[in-house]
Parts: sequence; C-alpha cells; structure tokens
Amino acid sequence: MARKHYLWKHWPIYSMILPGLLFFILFRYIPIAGSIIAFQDYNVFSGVLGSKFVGFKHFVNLFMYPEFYRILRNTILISLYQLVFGFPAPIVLAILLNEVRKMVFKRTIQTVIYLPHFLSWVIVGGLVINALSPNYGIVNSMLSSFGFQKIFFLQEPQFFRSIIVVSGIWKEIGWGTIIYLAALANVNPELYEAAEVDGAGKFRQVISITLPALLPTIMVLLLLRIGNFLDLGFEQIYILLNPLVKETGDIIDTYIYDVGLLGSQFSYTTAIGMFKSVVGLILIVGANQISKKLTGNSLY
Amino acid sequence: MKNIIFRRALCMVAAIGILAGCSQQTGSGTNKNGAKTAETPVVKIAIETRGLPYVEGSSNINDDKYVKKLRELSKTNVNIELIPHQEFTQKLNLMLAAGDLPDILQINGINSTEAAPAVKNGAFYELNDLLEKYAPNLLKKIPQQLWDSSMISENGKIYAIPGENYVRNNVVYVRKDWLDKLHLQVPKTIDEYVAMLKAFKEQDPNGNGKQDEIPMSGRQNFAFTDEFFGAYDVVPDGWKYENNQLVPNFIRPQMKQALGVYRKLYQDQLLDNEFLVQQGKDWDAKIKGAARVGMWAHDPSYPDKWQSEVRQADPNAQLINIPAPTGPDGKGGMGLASPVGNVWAIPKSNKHPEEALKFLEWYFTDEAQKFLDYGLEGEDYTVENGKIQYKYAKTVDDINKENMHLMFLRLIGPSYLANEEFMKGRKDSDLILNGLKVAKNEGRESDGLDMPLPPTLLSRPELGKNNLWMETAAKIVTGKEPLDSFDKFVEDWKKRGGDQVIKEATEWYNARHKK
Repeated sequence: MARKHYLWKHWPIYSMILPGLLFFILFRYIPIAGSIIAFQDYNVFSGVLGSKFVGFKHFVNLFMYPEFYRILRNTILISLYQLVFGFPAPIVLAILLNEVRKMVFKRTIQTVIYLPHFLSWVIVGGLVINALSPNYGIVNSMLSSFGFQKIFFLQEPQFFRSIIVVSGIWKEIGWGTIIYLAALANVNPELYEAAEVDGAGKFRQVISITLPALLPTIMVLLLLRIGNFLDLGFEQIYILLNPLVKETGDIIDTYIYDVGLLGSQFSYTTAIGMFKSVVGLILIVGANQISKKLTGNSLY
Repeated sequence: MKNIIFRRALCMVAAIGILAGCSQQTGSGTNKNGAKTAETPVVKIAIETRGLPYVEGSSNINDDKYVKKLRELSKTNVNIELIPHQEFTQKLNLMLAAGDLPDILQINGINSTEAAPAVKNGAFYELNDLLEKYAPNLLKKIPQQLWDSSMISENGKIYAIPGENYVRNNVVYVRKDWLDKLHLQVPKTIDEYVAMLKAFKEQDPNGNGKQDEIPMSGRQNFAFTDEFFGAYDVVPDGWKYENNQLVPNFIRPQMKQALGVYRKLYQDQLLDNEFLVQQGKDWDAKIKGAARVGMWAHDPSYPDKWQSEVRQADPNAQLINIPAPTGPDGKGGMGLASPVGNVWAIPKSNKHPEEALKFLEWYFTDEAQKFLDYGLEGEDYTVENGKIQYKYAKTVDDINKENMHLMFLRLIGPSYLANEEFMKGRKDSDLILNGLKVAKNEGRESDGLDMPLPPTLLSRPELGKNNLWMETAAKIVTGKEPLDSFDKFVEDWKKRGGDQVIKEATEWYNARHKK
C-alpha cells in the first residue's frame, strides 16, 4: 500500500523511465520472437508464417560443420586472450593516470589515447597492415636495423591472435579508462592522507585503497564482458584475416558472414546467433553466481 | 571529470545537429525535383555507384548537371538512388527483404543469390509481352545472346533488361619504358614472362641503383593476378566441361601446374610477396604512387588513365598492354566474364512499367548516344561547321568526370568503346585501341558462365573458391606446404561435398545445353 502511494506521488519522475522501457520492449524483446526462424527454412518472401519448420536441422548442420571445432577454438582463445590481457589494460592505465599530478599532462594524455576509439577498424586495420608490412612497415624496419630477419607477421598463423589482441588494446585502452577514472574520482582523498600518515607508500596505497575502491566497477564490467564472450567484434578480425592465417583466425562471426550475408542463409545464421546467445547467457549467469559468492558484487 | 562528460555530451549534440541538418537538406531537394515536373513520367532508379569517384563524391547526384540533362533529353523525370559499390549485394538484400523498391532496380542477374528468390516469388515483372508492346526496339537492338543468358531469362521468360559488357576480360599491363630500357622482347610464353620479370628484378630498370622494383603485383585472393592461371586454362572461378562433368577449374590437375608457377614466382620474389594481404588501395599505391611495379593485370579500356596516373610518380613511364602468357595449348588470357553487363529489373511495385521500358528504349536513340558519348554542349564539346569538337579529358579529374556520362549514366546500349570515331580522337587512343584488341584476341571461356551457385555451394560456402581452395593455394604459393598437398586438397574437397557440387553443376549444364 505504502509503495503504491510512493509511485503515485512521484509519477512524473517514474514516467521518465517510459521511453527507455519502450525502447527495450520494441527493439530488444519483440525481435527475440524473430529467433523462431532458426527452426525454419526461412524465405524472405514467404515470411515467418509461410516458411516451413525444420526443427533442429540448422543446429545439427552447425555442429556437423567440419571446421566447427576450429572456429569455436579460435573464438574462445581470442576471447580468452582479450579477457586476460585486454581487460586489465585500461585498469592499469587508469591507476597510472590517477597518480599523475600535473593536470595539463594528464588531460593531454587522456585526449590522445581516446582518439583511436573514434577511428573505424577499416582505418586501424590499414594502419596495422602498413605497420607490419615487410617492405615498408616500421616494425620490420626496426627489426632489420637490429640485424633480425624480416617477419611477415600477417601471414604467420602464430602471430595472428597476438596482433588482434594488441591492436584491440591499442584502439580501445583510452576509452576503457573513462569509467575507471570516474570511479577513482569518487574515492575520498582523506583515505590516502590517512594512509600516508600511517606510513603507506604509493604502491601500498594502490593495493589497499585504489583497487578495493575499483573492485565493484571492475566486477560489473567483467561480468558484462563475459556475457559477450563469443562476440569478438567481426570487423577487426575480418579486415586482418587472410587465407594463410585462417587456421588461427577464422571465428564464428566470420563464418556467419560467409554463410549468411554471402550465401543468404538467414535461418542458419540465426541458429548460430542463438547458439552464441545461449552460451553467453550460461556464462553470464554462472559468472554472476560465482562473483556473488566470492566478492558480494553482482549484476542483479 | 564532470567537465569532460559535459564536453562529450556537447560534441554528441553537435553531431546530431549536423546529421539532422543533412537529412533535412536532401529531403527538400527531392521534393523540389518531384514538384518541378509533375506532368512528365517519374522513374526512380537504384544504381550501383561502380566506385566511380565523380559519382561517389557528388553531394546530391539528383542535382548533377548530367542527370538534369538526362531528364531533359529523355523527357523522363529520372530520380537516382545510389547503392554504394562496396555493399551492393548487402544493400540489395536489405531492399528486397524490406520490399522498398524503386521503379528500376539494378541487380546482379536474376539467378544471383539475392535476386533469385525475388524472381521466384514474382517480385519482378515478366517482361516478354510488355517489351513487345511498349519497347519493341529493345528486343531488336539488344543481341539475342544477352536475352538468352540465365542472368536475364528463365525458360524463355524475360525478367530483366541486359546492358552490354563490351570488355569481358582483363589484360596484362607492362611498363614499356622498362622493357625498352632493358632491351627486352615482348614475352609470349610462361618462360619468357618469367625471364622478363627476372630482368625487372635484377637489372634495375628504374635506374635508381636499388633493387626496389616489384616485378609483378597482385591483390588479395589472387584478384587481378590470374595471368598464369589463364595460361593453363584454369582461371580459379571458371568451370570446365570434361569427361561428361562440369568441374570447377580449381580442382583440375592443370591447377597444380599453375600453382607451381606462382610458387616459383613468389619464392624468387618476382611476385609481390604481400599480394595475399593486399587491398586495392595498397596495390594502387605501389603501381601508381611509387611507380615500382613492372607488370599487373587490369581492365583494357583505360590504359590512358593508368598511364597518366603512373606518370604522376614517374614522368617517363610508358605503359602497354601485351598478350597474356600462353600455356601448353598455345593460348592464354584471363577469364572471360559474362557478356551481360548491367542488369535492370522492374519491380512489381512500379505501377507504370511501360514508362520505365520507354525510358530504357530511349537509350538506343542517336540523341541518347550523342549525349552519353560527348556529354554537354558548351561544357564537354562545341560544334564547329556542324562537326562535334569534343574536349578530350586530360587530367585525372577530367577523366573521372567524363566517366559520369561515358559509363555511369549509360544504363544499357552500346559502349563508347565501340564508337571508333569517338575513340580515335582521344589522347593516347592507340594505347586504348591496342588494349581492346589484345583483350578481344584472348581470354578463357568458362563452361559454367552465368550459372547460379549450386545449392550445395550455397549451404557449404567453405567448398567455394575463396575458402578451402584459397587456403590451400595460399599455403602452396608461400611455400608453407608442398605442391603435392594440392592432391590431398582435391581428394578432401570431393569427399566433403565437392562430388555433390559437381553433380549439381553437371545437371545445370546438361539442362541448359540439351534444349
């Protein structure tokens, strides 16, 4: 009763949630119903109602695909590397930036490292290809000036995943620091002062004050990231992929592109998308439970 | 911190403001056009940009002076919607799925993956009767071979109108100044070609004392790199009917020999070692920007443009098109594309298909041909003593602009390349005419020309040229795997569903050739 009264009293404030709610219903929940085409032989012109139901045929197709193991392994490995190396990178950078006392310097650095985020992968991919080129590339010029052999990085399968992870970090690290810096701005400066009085060094302060203050933010972002475990960003990999590195670089998303857009197999690709979503759901629920138990932080 | 967020919000607002401003502008532009000529028929056309700089750089193609002239001459209120060259297929898919179609729609042929279901479901007019009734000239002037193509008609029923592909194959481009400097003969066979490339590499034809020449360059997925496949008659995306079967060239035994040649070229660094990851712009930059490439392959219809572009980096550069290397059968040349060029379908949503047909029929009038060849009077040509004095394009910008009327607006009808009087007056016309002659005298036919993708290839794209084969070929050429791994690939390919692909392709071939 009391709760109802509260809602009623503040209805103008609560009504502000409506556009967001509508957005999610219209553009997130209703389209879920479209996933039904994963169980059909969908034809654009017959529509959802007119297409024939085929059960799990498309899922069976996916698991029978001879390279399925390869694309799954590549997807998981690249995602894992991104999680292990790419995820902590902005945290470290944010902590470092937080320690910078000269405001002008800090602001300049921040602006400069944000910039790559606004470039599309087509451009960054071009930069990567040029930088690693054996003829003109800066990396190989450096290698050869130190007397090493030139290496054709983009044609060597063993380098592909590292290139993906490193170029991803380069592009997104600055952008990723924003949230952490915002969280750090909220830390009470008195804590640092007290620690200093107690004789804690800089490093000790980071371990005992900064990191615990960041932990809730880190956990939320980590959980969200795990939910997208199988989404690697198609563009980046597609641009750098070539036949010689397919064995380490072909992922689920590039496969979807090949069969879906080039082969117009909407049902099949929806089935693959569903597979990815279900895996993502299991991972996020599982990780959330673990995090709840261990750190007390959780998404819901 | 707050300050940063505030500033970022400000940027967003500004960006949205700019976007809104843009969309408003284009909106009012089309309104104006619509209102201006309400009494003349309105025809909305969706055209691929073909990557032409003049077209893609236009702020509003419907306000362009050439489009305005086209409206005036054809007495049709043409309204153009551009489809970007890069995303043509995707965009087409979306348009067909959404049902938001213009009066005339460019497609990749009625048997293409994206258009075939639309044809099956009656999204396009069947044109036989309409053509006879409203545009009989189209039937007469367009060669029967084009109407018969499976990109245009199915069992005698016509679903689209074909434009003509005057040039069907690429040709070899060579730096003639390099040939002359090293006193080399024009090569003919594969061995002679290899010898020429070797000389390019070792004898410093650009004379800067460094071994920085790239004898031959190519692009990702062997694009514009197939001169040696052609020598063995195994152009990778072609098909061959042999032993009562239609098989893809990429599994034929000759393919192994061809790959052997590429492997050797790659090892000796006669073939650009970066070609497997090379995008068009990097390829361009090496040939034109750096002028370091000795040989490549491309369209024979504008060697003049190539030459002027290479000359921007090396003023002494001279180009020439030469016959492609000949193989064991004494013939050569790159793959011949379909004789069908642009394909135009008329969606059922068009309530006046006759107006669209009449507009297309206009292309075969002298008036239309004159406009498409020579452009605008006063701007592109003048008339002296009743004779047309055409201002032939000299700069790259001029050539780009010229392509607006020579290529882009020419939806159907004979090519300007066929107009000899026009061609003769061009700067470096001998270069172009030579290129066209070389192209006409060579080239490899595919027995699977205009064939829709066999169903198994659709559901198993990994069996197509750009997947399993490309992976194998790339590894063989770069020396990561021995040449003999090709045999294993063929065996594997057949086992994984390739036999089914061959069966389906053979059925299509038999059905088509027994009628």
